[in-house]
Amino acid sequence: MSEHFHRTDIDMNRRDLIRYSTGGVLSAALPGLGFAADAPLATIPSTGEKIPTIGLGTWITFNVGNKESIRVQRCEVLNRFFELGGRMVDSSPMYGAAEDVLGFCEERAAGPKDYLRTTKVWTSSNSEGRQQIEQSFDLWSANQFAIYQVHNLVNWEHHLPYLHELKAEGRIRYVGITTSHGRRHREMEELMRSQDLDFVQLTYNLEDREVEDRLLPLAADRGIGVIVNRPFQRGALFRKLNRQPLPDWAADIDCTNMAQIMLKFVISHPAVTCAIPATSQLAHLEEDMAARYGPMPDAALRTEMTKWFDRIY
Amino acid sequence: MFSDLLYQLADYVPYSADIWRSLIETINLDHWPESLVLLPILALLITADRMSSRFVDAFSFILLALCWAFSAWVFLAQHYAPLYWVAEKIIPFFLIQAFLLLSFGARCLKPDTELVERDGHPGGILLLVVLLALPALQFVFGNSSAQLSWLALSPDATAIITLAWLITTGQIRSMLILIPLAWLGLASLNGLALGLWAEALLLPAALVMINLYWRPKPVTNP
Repeated sequence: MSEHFHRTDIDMNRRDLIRYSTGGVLSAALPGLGFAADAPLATIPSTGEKIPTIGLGTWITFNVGNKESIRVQRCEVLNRFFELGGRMVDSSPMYGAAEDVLGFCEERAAGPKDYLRTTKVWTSSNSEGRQQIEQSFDLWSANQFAIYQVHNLVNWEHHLPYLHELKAEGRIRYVGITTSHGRRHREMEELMRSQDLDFVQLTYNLEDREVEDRLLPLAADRGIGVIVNRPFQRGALFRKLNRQPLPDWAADIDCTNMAQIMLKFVISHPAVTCAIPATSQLAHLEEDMAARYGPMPDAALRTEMTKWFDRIY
Repeated sequence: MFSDLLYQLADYVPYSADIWRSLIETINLDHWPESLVLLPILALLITADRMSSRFVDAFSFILLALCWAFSAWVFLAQHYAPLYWVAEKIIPFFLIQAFLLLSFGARCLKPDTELVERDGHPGGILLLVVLLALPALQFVFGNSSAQLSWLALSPDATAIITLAWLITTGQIRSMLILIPLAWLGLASLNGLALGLWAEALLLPAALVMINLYWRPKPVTNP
């Protein structure tokens, strides 16, 4: 079956953008796309552990049902992600079959055994939450999760203490909370002040910059790692930037396409630990992973980037 | 603004358009050639209007009930639920619809039940059009021949054909229309979110169909 997933428009736009803005010179800019092993790493504030600044999200892209041929294709994406130096894969029980597909890939020896498995608990029921967590361990065939988060703050009152119990037992290494779409920021801020958290996950991108005001500075202040979801605003930014030429300053930070501009904007924020773009396409994965390399925008250029985006949109 | 609305709507659909098509395709292929059994059922539904017998009506309602139960089990429980947790919440409503259709079918068999006056109802032609319209539109919008929605195998087709059957049998004002209409509403939102325009048209098409063939109850003198 041809690969026209939900991001079809996005994917087409991305291809168009590359053609339009660079003449397809991505490969020339990054010979072989093998990448050197010296991409800068981010530091997890609570432990000092180093991790790559780009991870892999699985919302929609890994929720593919039971068809084996599609699952195998996703395993190829996952394998390529690891080949390119990726380590963190983020999912959730909310993402349908995504965790099951990741387990499917793991059974086929995709990737290193010690990658940063990251998932969430997402239910308002206490007992169901514990079942859900055990089910995630089974689905991923995992003995340990690197990061376990309370999805969208749902029933955090119960889940957070339980996740800390699991952390004490060594079954998970980091505890976090998540939100997206700019929702529940006030509550997230309160939890960041009152709870023992290793990570928060939130939405941040060129369009949605609300977290710059309070949450990102607070994370830096409190030593909480930040995982950024929706760095492309679920593909909407590609639609908005379609037909725009790459700005002149893109070359200064080694960006050859819009995806890299968007990702570099996100991961260059001092409080951000990593971004987790989702894709089912190998070519897009390679574009995304290339954003870890080369100069990052400094504060002045970051301001210029937001002005550029605001002028367009 | 419309694109922003679609964008927000898409946040509630955790799979892609291709995975949705693949879901339909998988079910179609898994149940081929057994699904050929649907052909006589469809023929019966389409010609039932001309037969106008209580046995044919009863049999048709019962067959539609089986189609809803089949959709609940195969489409929702086996294939859709792993993709989207909402499916599990919908299954009981499909089973309720199956039960209601069965009840109506059983009621048709009672000798004292008057057959609904068919005069003025669109009958088999409407059913035929409805049966073919969705797959035809899906084909036009890019689905392969294996990815077309058919009665029983797809809840979309089952719901719209049920509505056409209710119009045909004059039961459009009954509670039997509620669950099909609700599903078609969800199907249209799903289609809008995924950019599947044949599916997006389902609810508007159903409302137009009902509006065209709605017959107010005749006023009877005491």
